[in-house]
Amino acid sequence: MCTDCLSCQALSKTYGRRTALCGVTFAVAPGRITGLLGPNGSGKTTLIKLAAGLLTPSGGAVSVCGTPPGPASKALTAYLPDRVFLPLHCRVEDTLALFADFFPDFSRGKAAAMLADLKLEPRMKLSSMSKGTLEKLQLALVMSRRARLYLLDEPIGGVDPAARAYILSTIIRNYSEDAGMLLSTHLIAEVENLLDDAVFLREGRVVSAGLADDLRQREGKGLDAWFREVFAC
Amino acid sequence: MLKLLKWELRQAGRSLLPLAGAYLAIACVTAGMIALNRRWFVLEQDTAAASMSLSLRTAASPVLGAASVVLFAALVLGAMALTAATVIVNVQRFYRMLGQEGYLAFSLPVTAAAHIGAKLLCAVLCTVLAVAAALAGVWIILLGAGAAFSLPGVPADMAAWLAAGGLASIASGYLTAYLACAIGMGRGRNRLAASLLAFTALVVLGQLALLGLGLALARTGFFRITLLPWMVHAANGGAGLPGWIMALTCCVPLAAGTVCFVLTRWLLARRLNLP
Amino acid sequence: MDWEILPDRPVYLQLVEQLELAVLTGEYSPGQRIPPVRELAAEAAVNPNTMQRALAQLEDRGLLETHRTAGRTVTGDPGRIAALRGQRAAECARAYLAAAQRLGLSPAQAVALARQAAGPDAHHETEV
Repeated sequence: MCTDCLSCQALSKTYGRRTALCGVTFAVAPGRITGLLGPNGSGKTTLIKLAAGLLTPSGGAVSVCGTPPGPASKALTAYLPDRVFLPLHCRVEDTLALFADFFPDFSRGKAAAMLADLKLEPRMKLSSMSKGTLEKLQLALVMSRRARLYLLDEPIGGVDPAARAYILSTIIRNYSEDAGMLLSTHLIAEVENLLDDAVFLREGRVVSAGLADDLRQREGKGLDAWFREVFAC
Repeated sequence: MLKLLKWELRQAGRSLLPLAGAYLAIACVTAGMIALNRRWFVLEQDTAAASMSLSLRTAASPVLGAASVVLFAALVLGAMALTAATVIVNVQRFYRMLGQEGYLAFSLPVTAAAHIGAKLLCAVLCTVLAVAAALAGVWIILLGAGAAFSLPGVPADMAAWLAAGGLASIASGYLTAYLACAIGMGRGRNRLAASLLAFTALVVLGQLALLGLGLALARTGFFRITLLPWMVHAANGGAGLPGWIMALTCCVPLAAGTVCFVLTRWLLARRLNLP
Repeated sequence: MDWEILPDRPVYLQLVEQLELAVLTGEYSPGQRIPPVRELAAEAAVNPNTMQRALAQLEDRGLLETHRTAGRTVTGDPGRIAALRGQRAAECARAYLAAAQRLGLSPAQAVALARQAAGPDAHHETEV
């Protein structure tokens, strides 16, 4: 059992002149759902991509269950990007086969059950699905993995309210005490009840990090209300 | 990496197999028509000069004859197009992996080297098959024309070197393209332009390096000592080339390819930048 | 069951209150098995850890019991439920009196107003 599912130490990422992240330090422990909250452009996606191994840090370190991002960490990480990442020319059964092939922790049974909920047939082509359905399919595949770290980048952004409820419910039902979950979003009000911990980012820096309930108790208001106050332009 | 290779071949096959199939189908149709028209086509082989000439006797059925000629021309173009398409499709797949498709590829638990290796093997395999298909098309035509086809006599070891050299060159070419894509990675809107520029630069660099190496060797009198006797041998009607030249046709592309592979791997592992 | 979680108070406290209410209204009858933590958390759209905390607190108060084979059930002890009812009702009464006081009414006035609102049947059954 690893001590921290995700650990960032003074993590920085710069693109030439532009600094996307600077000095970010926090950790996600097993069994905790951590929210990565902040306005658009605050570096949430950059942070998640660094943890997923799709970017390399400019400074500092990031590690997944003690190992830096690489093939070993990717086997433990279930990453759901904020865009469609499945090849559109595939069928549903192809995507199942892909996940089953490369990820030993993928549960076909779980995925099949979720797909049945979504009324998706194995022979359906991805190109014939709406964007919302594709996002739900991607979520189903990612959440069917028994990973140590779940990285969900804007899972409910750009989705209708009914789909949001389904997505949040799926996330909760697949919660595991061995796994840590990092959920990034700018729709704080929707997810704040889900979070154990909350990390607030602004312009690439951590503004606040700690238990969600502590913040509520301390400030006497919800995370969303506090966020609007503090981050008001 | 084997799993990756399986997926790569499946994906590449999706686009290329139909093309190859169409090409071979045209070849068969043309061969069939030629066979029907055997009276109108005569294939003459001039063995002494090792050349072939195709002559058309006065056609009693101009329609079939003309159609055969047209199809034959289409076949030749098709052979070139098939090879070109294979190369383009394979390079494109690598290029796309450094774009949107990378979100899936790089979340898989495989090393950068495995990605490059799988794509390279798939590309080389596809290219070899495409060339084979192209030649098969020609062979089918000749079969239809009722001619026997024999390659000029090539000593076995030279053939092996030629084949190895050919494979090495193909691989090296792809790896240069891959490196160019990796260099162009992450430049946003200018990714394609940067990659093309990098490819041109790499090719020029490679040629200059080769030229430089050759000149340097020439100055030391290397060629005078080693090549001269063989040139004399060839002038006297001897066949074949010295073994080390054959080895060079393998080693030079292999070396260049290895350099490209190592650099690409470094870029993908340490400087990955997906848009 | 309908859950309403407001953002300005700790979530687990609200979960405790609403679960107690569910028991009092009879939505979960005495001895009835309640759904597992994850199920309840998904229903309420809250963190499973928070739901677990709320359920643990209810167990401490004796309202819920954990059995090894049957999972979590509502207590079969009617005394506890009655005690809870009394407690919550007393809180409601106190809240009403406080609200009336803010409006400028005296306690006696507030009680009279309550009797009036309850109608003619309110004179029987003064014990909870």
